[in-house]
Amino acid sequence: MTARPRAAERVYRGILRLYPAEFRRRFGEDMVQLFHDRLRDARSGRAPAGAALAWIALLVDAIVMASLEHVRRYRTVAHSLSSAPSIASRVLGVAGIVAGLAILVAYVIDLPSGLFRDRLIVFSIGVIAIAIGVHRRQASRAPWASLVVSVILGAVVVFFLVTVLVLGVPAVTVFWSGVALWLGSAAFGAVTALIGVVSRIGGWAVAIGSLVALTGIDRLGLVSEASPTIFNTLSQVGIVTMAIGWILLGLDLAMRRVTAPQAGGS
Amino acid sequence: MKSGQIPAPDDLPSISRTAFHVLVAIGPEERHGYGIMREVERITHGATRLGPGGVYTTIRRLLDDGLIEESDARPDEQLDDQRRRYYRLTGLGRSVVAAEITRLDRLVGAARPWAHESIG
Repeated sequence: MTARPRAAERVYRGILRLYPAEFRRRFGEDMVQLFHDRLRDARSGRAPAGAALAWIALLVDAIVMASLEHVRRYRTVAHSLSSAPSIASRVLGVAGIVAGLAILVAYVIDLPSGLFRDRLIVFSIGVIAIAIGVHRRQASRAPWASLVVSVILGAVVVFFLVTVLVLGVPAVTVFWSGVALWLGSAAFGAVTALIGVVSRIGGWAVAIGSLVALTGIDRLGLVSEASPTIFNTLSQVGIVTMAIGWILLGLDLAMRRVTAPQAGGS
Repeated sequence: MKSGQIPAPDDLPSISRTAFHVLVAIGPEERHGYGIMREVERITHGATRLGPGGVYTTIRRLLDDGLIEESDARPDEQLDDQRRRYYRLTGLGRSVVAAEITRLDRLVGAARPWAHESIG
């Protein structure tokens, strides 16, 4: 082998480092052999392109094929270590998405009407579904923290729903049940985000959105009943943020594949 | 996969065009990477030129899927480099090629009555 092919081979072996190591070990020497064949053809005029064009073609071939090989390998490894969400997780996630959408429709699209009772029921069921689904996912990581915030959230949601649905409950009681709901949601979102098994962004959106919504509540408006809504602009921003958080958590439960250590818990 | 377990042609999955080219290029013989590369160029009249990456990523996939296998045979031991690895179709590989040909035949049959008139 002359000095020039040796230098060319060194360069090509360097290019081959773009491929995954396992692929290189398996086919590296064959590819070097094929590289020499290709260059020999190009220099002898058997190939239509000259050596320079052959080099360009080899470089493009290596970059494109090495990238595809990495993607394939990544996908194979990722899929082998994970499993699709269970049917139960999908159902709970979809319920959570519906809950978030119910809130969004109420406060963004259908603003003047506010949150009707039927939407409240949908929202409440969805939030409880999220609490169950998220707890199933993260129980193996932080069982007690997850259980406590999930139970609290479920309890305050039920309490809020009862105060809203049962006729004759004083407005102030409804107000405080709403406060309990915001605080329960904030705690649930924060703990979920800190545990980090499901969407951290979703968890923080629920936590921050709930607190912002609580901050903006116009309690005087409730007490005097002079205003059509107790939620000012700040409060509504918080509600929308929280709704997006529930949707993100729902999407996570319904769609994201779970890695092997958590697969048994979902 | 054993030959007795080879599914019916219609049950076989469709394969990529490059994979099909490589399978056809190997054909009934045993070929090494360079032979496959040259044969693909020949049968496609130069329309498809595979580089080393294209050839060996496809070979890797076909090996993993059981459509080809490595062969110990060396067609011409005097002339050929003994370091080269040769590949041949498996029974499943032949079935996949046959199934793909059936699909293409149907497609061509559907287009033939009107396609030539459009060109002409």
